[in-house]
Amino acid sequence: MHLSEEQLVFLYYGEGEGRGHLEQCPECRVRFEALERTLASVSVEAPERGPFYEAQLWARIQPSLAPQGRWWRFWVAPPRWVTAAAMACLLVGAFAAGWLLRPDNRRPAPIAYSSDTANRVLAMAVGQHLDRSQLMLTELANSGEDSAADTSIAEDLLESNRLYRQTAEREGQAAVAALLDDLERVLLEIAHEPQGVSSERLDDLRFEMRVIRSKLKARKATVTTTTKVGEEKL
Amino acid sequence: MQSKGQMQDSDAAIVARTLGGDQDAFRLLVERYGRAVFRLAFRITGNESDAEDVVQEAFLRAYKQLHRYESRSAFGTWLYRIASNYALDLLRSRKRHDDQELVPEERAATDPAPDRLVYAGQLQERLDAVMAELSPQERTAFVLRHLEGQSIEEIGAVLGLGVSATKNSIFRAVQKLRRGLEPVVSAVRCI
Repeated sequence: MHLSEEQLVFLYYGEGEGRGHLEQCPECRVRFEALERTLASVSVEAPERGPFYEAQLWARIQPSLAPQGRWWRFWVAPPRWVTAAAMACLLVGAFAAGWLLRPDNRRPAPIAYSSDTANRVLAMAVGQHLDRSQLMLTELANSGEDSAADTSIAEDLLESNRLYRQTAEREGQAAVAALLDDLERVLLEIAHEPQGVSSERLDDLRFEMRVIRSKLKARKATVTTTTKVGEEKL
Repeated sequence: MQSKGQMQDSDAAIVARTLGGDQDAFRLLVERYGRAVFRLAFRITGNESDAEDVVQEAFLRAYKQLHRYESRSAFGTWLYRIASNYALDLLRSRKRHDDQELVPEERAATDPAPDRLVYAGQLQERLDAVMAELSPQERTAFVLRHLEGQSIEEIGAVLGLGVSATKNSIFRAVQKLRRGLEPVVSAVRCI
């Protein structure tokens, strides 16, 4: 009886039995040599990296490294009471500023902000929000058994996302609102998926996030260019 | 005088320093394994930009999961496993996205004219086409066995398969490669 194809393949890789048979059977030896020739021709050479590859790679990786440990979660998704306290401080501050800047206080009129300034502030806030979302997705991808904790982070991010989306809609920034709408669906899926999201789905979501981020970058570049052109015209 | 081995920190020592909060220590691991992970990632994905994505993600995942690394096994082996896993996920995800665009010109090359086979470049071209036709699981299994020399057990751990299913994936990949390459190899041999 001759050796099977599978036996020949694993003999080639130095596994399995049949070496003795191979030495005695010319027919199997011919088949084995043909297999050897074919497999010996299979090599996949990767393109060479440049001399500074390691430094470039580190420059790409380093900004995404959080300190070891989990205290940074506090920054990514602060507890609700912290968010509420911050909102309360903002409201009190806004009220005090409004009272102090009343026209009848005979103070100089507050400087009117241009819509470009508002757009930039919103773009910055949305950019930070996207960074936090990206960080959460990366953490979720790596968390395994801790996915329930990430689900609560997603809920918090979802709330912020709704606020940013509504603000963008109010400011007439349809493109940003559309991007945030995309993200909202992503976050909603994570927040409402009790068993956690599959790794395949997560990769799709992260891919979607990358697309959203690159759209925002492209949009930011357009806004900057438009502003510069506008300034030149002035 | 110190030997090179003494001058260089061991992987385990660098991991310990990183876990102790010295983030820059991790850079040494990136410098030590960056190129090798890129080569592995390229062989699995067959695509330069995907390979770069895999390298970056593998190091990020390794950093996040560093507390789970057990220094009993080599850090490199552990890192390659993370990279292979992510590369496999990426291939699967790409496959789902690209299923509609399955390269007809690659299929058209199944029976190339014998006169074209004299060119060595044809072999590479054919190899690329056949590799692209392997399923993500077959491709990963084959690359890890044939090009990276990993054991069946190590490959099984990456694929989440038992020994028999892992062997089956490798065997299927080899069969497809043989079908695709044997005519070319024989023709080149006759020249």
